[in-house]
Amino acid sequence: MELTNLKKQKVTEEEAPINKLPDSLLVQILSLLPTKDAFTTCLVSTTWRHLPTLIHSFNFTYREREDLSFIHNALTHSLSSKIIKLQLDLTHLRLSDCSFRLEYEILISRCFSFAVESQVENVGFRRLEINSLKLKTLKLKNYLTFAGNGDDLEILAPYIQHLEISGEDLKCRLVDVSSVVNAKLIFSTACIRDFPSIYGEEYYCFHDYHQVVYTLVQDNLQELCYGTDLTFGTWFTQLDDWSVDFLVNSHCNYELLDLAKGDNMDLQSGVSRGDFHNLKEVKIVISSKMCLKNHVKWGFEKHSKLSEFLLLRTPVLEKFVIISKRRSIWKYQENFIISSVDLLMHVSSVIHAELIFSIAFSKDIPSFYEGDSCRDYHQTVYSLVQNNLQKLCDATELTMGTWFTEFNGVPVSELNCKYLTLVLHMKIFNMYGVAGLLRASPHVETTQLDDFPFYFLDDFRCKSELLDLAKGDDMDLLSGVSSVEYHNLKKVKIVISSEACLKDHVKRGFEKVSKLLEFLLLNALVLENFVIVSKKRRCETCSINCLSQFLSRLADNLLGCPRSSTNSEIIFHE
Amino acid sequence: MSSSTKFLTLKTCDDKKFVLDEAIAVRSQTIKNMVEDDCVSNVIPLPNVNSKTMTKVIEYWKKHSEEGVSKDVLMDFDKAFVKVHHSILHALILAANFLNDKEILDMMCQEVADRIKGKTPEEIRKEFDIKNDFTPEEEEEIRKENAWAFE
Repeated sequence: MELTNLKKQKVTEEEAPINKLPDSLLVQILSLLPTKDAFTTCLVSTTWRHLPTLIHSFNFTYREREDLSFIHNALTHSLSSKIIKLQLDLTHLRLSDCSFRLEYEILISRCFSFAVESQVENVGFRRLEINSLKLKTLKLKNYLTFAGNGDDLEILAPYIQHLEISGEDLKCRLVDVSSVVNAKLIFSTACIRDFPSIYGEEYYCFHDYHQVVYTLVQDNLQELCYGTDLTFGTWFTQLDDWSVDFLVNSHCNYELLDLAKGDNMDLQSGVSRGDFHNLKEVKIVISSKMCLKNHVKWGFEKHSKLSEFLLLRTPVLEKFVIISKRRSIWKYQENFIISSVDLLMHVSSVIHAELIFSIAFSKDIPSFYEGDSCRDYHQTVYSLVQNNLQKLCDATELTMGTWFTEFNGVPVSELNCKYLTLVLHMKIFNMYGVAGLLRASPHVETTQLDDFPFYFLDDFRCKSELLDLAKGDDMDLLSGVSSVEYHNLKKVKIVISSEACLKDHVKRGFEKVSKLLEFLLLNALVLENFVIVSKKRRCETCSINCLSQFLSRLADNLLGCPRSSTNSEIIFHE
Repeated sequence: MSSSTKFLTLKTCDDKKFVLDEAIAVRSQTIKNMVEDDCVSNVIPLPNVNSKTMTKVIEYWKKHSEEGVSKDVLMDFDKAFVKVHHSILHALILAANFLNDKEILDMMCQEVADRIKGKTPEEIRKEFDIKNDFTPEEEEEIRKENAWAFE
């Protein structure tokens, strides 16, 4: 406003063409400059006077002590509503003499708070040294790559406890992060996409480049060997969010070849010096939307090599979580998961295992398992599940998805589990499985059944399984488990959170549930609490209140059945 | 190459006409939108661009649409392309902004920025023929106000 007035007053015929550019374009030009240069231009003419305060990108380079106050002022005077970039080059900074460590700390926290307040879209630092005892968390979102050779970012932050860096094509060297307990490093190193031109296209150059990247990865892993909670991005390998699109978008053929040639072996041997002495949790999230069909093999190789490595190098691992964020189960994903489960063979010291995934066993059965081979397929799954449960027999806290129900009453060694949570969000599960698992867990103190499926017979496509169930399933359930008494089980909690209407399925689902509950009541000697919680208020589908009908019938049955424990109470929440 | 190459006619503000392969012309997001929205008759008027500037833009488009041009050749071409008087730079920025060609716009803005970089206000004025329209009092005031920005 003031700006345009001024402009109009002073417009003369011979005004320079560049002054006639719209302010937005001039601001864009100034934003490309080192911020110091941008602010110099306010003296050029009245047109330029207020433009520097509107720039949307900051490029600071620290050279001398005075730069500290300049950076502070430039940020304070910023009037731009949207900041796209904040970049701070601290390469020239040497903190060895400690003389202005305090000022430096103030600057860094100033930059961080500015980045947070203005919601800066891209933040970049080159060489970051943080010695503050107060600053515990370092978060760099969409980290920028600096032009030029060498490492993009060096981090020296011996007191930082939480480290979070994300960005693309970034080479980051953790020089000293010895206090980090919680690290989230999500970025992809550039050897995969948009290969830097400095490395040319020659074959041998790629090799050097890979060496650099490996050394970096190796060093970084060593720095993080005392972390207890780690989340890695593409740079490490594709643990989070699968590598599928990495393979598709790859421009670097040599990289592809390399992977096929057991590249990961090198990675492993390179890092073998660093054991993760405090690493307690490993979480693998499959969130890729891509079909795994064509990449199953490669993706799996990579994934399993690394998981294997982690399992071998983590003597105190307590939690190994595999979660599939994808709801619908695809043919190939299930193979994939089954194979991943195989990895658990290496787990020995796991205390808390959370294995939430479903093996799409009865639904969407792969076409090649039709007919007779159905049995074979079942057999494979059974032995897998069985093996896994055996591996987990020392764990005290178990959370399991539908997969475990696939073990068909096969003998399993006793589980020492005390807290058992069953997450059954699939439409179908096998009653044998629940029964068998319960039988194998005589030490259980708390049982929780989440989202109990009342309509598990619906989507069956596999005929042999269906027959199996029809042949007196419930009888087997009870007889198979009847030999066990629960001397420790004090609390049973059943959560009904399914959205489906219970009306049509009342009968079948009801039979199963009440049989199971009856069994629990009968065999739990010191049971104190028996809680049934319904998370849904009212059924969206049917007009009659199917849920309360269901619950009241369940209550009638349970109240009438024999109990071993004398002081147990049954509670219904709605 | 498709056999049915479509041509567009672009008319600049000084009534010069340019006939151009559609595949090349759609480097301009503005023209592309017009083509996609089907509001192209025979001639596309470009009221904000003169023929001299348009010639430069088309020169750039054609070079960058050529097949089998090496990166080095393109880099040399770009280097030479931006070495023009600042009045042409200005016209090209406006044209690229109107045509919505981010590639040219970014390149031109970068060139202006490079010419500003490291210069004193007086040197910048000289570079772009800008008249100092501050009174000495105003200049003193700004210097005081922004003392932190000048050392």
